[in-house]
Amino acid sequence: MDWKDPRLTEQILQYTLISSALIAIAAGYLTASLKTMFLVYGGCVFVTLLVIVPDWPYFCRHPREWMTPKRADAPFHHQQQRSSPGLESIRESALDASKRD
Amino acid sequence: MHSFLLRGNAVLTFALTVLAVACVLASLTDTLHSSKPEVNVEILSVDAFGRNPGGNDEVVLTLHISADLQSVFTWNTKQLFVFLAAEYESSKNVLNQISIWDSIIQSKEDAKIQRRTRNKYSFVDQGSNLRGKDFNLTLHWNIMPVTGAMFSEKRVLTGFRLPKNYM
Repeated sequence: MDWKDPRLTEQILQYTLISSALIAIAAGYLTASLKTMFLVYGGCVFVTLLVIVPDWPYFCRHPREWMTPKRADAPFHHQQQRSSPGLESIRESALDASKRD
Repeated sequence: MHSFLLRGNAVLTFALTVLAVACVLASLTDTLHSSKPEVNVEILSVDAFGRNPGGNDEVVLTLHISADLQSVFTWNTKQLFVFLAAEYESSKNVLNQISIWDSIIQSKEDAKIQRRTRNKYSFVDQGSNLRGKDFNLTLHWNIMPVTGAMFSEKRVLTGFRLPKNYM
């Protein structure tokens, strides 16, 4: 799973668990049973695990672009690889560095 | 957060911390609770009163203990430990306290006590100071919570007196 911002997970995690604890306390207090509080909270933790742990697609909305791997001794031709302009300068400097070595 | 284990660890650790805070909050709700217990103890008869083989005064009483402790229970109460103590003064000690009966109450329904019983534990003095002695019978109860701190309350009943002579 690639993604840019782990803040999403942290936020879901914290808000869900804190609000489920508050709901659990309220439910337990109203039914005068601490057991209800623990059961409600335990159920909410289980649901939170289901939401967060598996590899859901919404975690992968901004996948990171990785460069394609190349062999170190293969000849590098400018005409062959055309991708976004930003990566070009990185490739140039990598080429210069390998020439210097 | 790039692996199952990392995310699972984060969820479970945070869940446990939040649970601890929730338990503290739940135990704090006990401060809002007010209880109205009713207690009465009578001595029905003094069955024996003399010196025991150790040389100390000993009394055997038949008691009638009636108490309504239902209002003491909250949602956070696990059980009540109730005990009856006899308290008196003697030449050797400013205060003597002897637990002569106890009981564990585990539910609100059982909290209405109506017992006619002999004292469960021996009422023995250190020496022989009990002839004609005035004493109090105090019903103590410890409120044991599910989470949080344990509190103790009591009701003092005065005006009991032992016979002037051995029986």
